[in-house]
Amino acid sequence: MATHESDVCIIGAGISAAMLAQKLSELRPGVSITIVEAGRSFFDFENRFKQRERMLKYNENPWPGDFIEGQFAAGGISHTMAVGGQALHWGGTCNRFSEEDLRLKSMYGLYIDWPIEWAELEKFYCEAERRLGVSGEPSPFPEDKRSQPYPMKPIPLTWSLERLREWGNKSGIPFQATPQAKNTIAYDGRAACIRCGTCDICPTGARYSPDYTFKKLIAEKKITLHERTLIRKLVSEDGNKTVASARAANGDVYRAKTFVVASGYTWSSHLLLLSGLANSSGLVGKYMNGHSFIQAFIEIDGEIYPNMNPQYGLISRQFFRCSGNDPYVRHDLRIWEAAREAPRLKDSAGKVLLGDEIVKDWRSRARRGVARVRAYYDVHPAKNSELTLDLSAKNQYGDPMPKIVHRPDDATAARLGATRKHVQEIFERMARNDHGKILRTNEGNYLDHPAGGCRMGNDPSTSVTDSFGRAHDHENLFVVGAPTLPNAGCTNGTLTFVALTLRSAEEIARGFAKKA
Amino acid sequence: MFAPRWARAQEVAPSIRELAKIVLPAETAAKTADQFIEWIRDYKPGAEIASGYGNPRTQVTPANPSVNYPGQLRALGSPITRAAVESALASIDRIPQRPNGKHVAADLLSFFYNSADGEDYLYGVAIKRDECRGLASSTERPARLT
Repeated sequence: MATHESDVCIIGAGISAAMLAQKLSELRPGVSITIVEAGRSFFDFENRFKQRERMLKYNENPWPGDFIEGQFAAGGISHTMAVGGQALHWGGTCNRFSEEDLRLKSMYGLYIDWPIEWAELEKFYCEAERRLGVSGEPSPFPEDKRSQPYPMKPIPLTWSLERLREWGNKSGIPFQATPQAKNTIAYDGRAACIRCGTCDICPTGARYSPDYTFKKLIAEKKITLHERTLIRKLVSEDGNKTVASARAANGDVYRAKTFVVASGYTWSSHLLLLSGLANSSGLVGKYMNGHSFIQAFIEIDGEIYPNMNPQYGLISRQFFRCSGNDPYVRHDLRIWEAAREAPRLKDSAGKVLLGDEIVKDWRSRARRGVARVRAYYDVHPAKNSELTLDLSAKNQYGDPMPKIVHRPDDATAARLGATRKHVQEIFERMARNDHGKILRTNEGNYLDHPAGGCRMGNDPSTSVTDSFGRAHDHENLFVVGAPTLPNAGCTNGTLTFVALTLRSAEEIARGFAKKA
Repeated sequence: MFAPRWARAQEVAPSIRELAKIVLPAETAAKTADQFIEWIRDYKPGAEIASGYGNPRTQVTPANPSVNYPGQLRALGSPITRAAVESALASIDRIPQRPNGKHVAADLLSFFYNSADGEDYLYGVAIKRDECRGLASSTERPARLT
């Protein structure tokens, strides 16, 4: 059992922690930073081609042991707990939200507004894109105006995606390349993408991953990383005014001037609930959010091949905003290359097909290209869209595990039918070109790109943190990244998590005097 | 029972090569059979399965599907005939997504048609999905297979 002291103690080592530590170490070089992560590290870049090969051949986990046995969140979408967090195996998509996401109350009379101006957030989007290394092309919509260009040119569209863009644009919906945290040139000490198609384990380092940042910060002695160390509780010693220490499962104690909970949308709220801190509003674990999606597979004329760059696609931002006169529905619209139907073992009469017959049969049935089209649509959480402590499921230390149940607010539930109809009409509109035929549609049965649980706001009675992620209840406790989002917009959230974290870093730095 | 993994693969290799000539396209049968035998040999039961985003439960790879193959291959008789294969596949409706041991003939089909080579063969072009292909060629139509 040891006591570790530092100026800043960051709990969790995902993408938000990486960006926070990097920026803080630049702004305040003398400040000591300790990062405590429950899971293991993967600083074995040299093994990634091998791991990739095993994944391709055998579907083996390319990040073996990236979880903690018994540390499981019911209702979660990933079990990854490791240095790098879920961004170890993210696809790298770096879409921005739009101003509407921050102004739902004032623009539409829905849910709430964020305690931050769009122009302010946009500045940190630019910084996030620079730090992650984002390649992209600007949106054609003036509302998406950028104050700085993307750091890198977009990844070239594949043959298939170019055909799909032409097809999508025929509907009067402009599509563009999806911005990606993937290098199109050597950038920040990492190689350019060579289109391996396995971004969940990028063997070249072209796709940003937090482990690169941590490895660099450790080598430069700017941080101390304690991995495989589960923090079970934060403790206050002054009547809840400040947080004094973090207690680890191995008995170690971490003392710091400032604590930052950067444990993602699940484990941040979980730790605060276990600690009984930051919760005078009763809102820790509430307003858990994300977005729903509907997708269609549409068969079209056109030479479309799957897997040319499977984790790359197109986006339209046309529906990020809707007129106040129309029924409220906001969503992104995505297109990916998709495979044609699978070869079959038996024909329609039940005759077994063997040898060349299978290919002949397949070619007679699967002649046309297939597009996968998806809309992530905006939904707003009810207060009881929540993460709670499940007393029936405990880990080896006897701590109850989290249970997440997403619930939409009344307005969202009331417009669900109209939202589905709207999206279906768009699919049909797209299918009118190139003799399109909708093969099937389906809906997600979970909220994607989840966030929330410690939502930010100006009013301590309706939020957990202020706009910087500082807990209203404790002046030296911050929560950064996904948990602070009041709502999850209608597209991938990682860039927003990072942008908000970079803004938090400046506020945390202000708490430490600059050394001469 | 205590034979190493490769011994099992060696044991079934001749029959798998014979079977491949019946179930796979003629021009790919020999190459695919050899790749499948190698795949069996290097298979690791109990390895963690890729979880990633959207799959919160830990799962492991099941037993090597080839444990069932010696018996299945013997049941096909010698020489293996198309009729015997059709009969063996009567209870299987579709090509499985991954070899699962239900029948070696279906697993051979699964192995090929879910592979990058199988995909290229179906589409008649060189997509080469498992290769790192570079960005420069990204925009080009995949080359036709000759």
